[in-house]
Amino acid sequence: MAINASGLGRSPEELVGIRRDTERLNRAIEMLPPPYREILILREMDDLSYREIAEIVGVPIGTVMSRLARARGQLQAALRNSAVGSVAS
Amino acid sequence: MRCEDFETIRDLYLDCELDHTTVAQIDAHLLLCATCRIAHEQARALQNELRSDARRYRAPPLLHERIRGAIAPRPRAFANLRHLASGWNPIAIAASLMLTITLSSGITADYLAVAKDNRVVDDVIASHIRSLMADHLIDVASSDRHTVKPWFSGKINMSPPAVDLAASGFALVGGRLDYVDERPCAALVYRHDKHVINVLMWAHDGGNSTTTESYSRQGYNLIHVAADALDYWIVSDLHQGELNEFVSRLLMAARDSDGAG
Repeated sequence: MAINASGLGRSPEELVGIRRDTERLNRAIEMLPPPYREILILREMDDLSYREIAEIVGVPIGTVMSRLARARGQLQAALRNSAVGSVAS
Repeated sequence: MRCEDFETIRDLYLDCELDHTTVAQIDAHLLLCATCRIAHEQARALQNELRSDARRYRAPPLLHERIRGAIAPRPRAFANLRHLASGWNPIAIAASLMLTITLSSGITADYLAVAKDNRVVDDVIASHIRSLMADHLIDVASSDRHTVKPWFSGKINMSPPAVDLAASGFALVGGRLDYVDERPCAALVYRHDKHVINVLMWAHDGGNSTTTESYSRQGYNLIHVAADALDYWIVSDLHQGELNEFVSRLLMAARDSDGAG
């Protein structure tokens, strides 16, 4: 049986909780409009600078910044809402 | 630094896009301001969560190499790129396809877009220098917003927030029509002591979010702000700190003025 290294030392309950948080985050990312998601991924997952993202996506840096700010704002709002929803349910 | 200044550049601070001087100013501000510190820590926490828990979105190796190849000619080093996903999944593939299509169809367009960005900066500086050299600083000379603002009516497709900031040391002296980035635009002219500040603006096509970027070229400082459905380009030989203060006051007054009708 394969053991995920990140799961070593954690209880099954903790692992379930981590998995739920990850799924919640991924769902929130999927809900973002594609132009926002694209820039968020290039920034956060690929660690590209605003200038580099502007080059790849083909938009001015100002647009990169505004889309990134909106992506983060929407993501935070979605995570807050899902947290409230999970508590309520 | 004030809280509203930090709010404007919070993302740039988070993403290490600021110069050392500004970073030091923010560091000092965060030591004193718990509200801004908490806001920054929340943004940092989200960033950490994304980087640790959303790995499925990282570019797969082939796509990453294409990304690297597309931007390799630029000066920034890639020493801190640390990815290469360990697996594939439908969403990663979909994201990859989306980016691959963008890359395969638009690398030339990407570089043209960057060239365009630089051209706007050059246009703004040229406009500023022209306004100082030739006798074309202002078309309508007035510090009264009720004179300057209506003057633009019918000449361009937006209504510039002609607010006088004389009480803060930045006096509105008038406005003029100009032409930047292949479009007519409004130019508001302010004076601070012996310095002239040109504020060029046109309708923004990217929504209402607020973003800021700074440039220094040919001895001039420029600030580009996309806010409240407008693109503002502010240029002057003022010190960057003073220009930041001017921009903060301008945006706040413009919003107040907009709210007041």
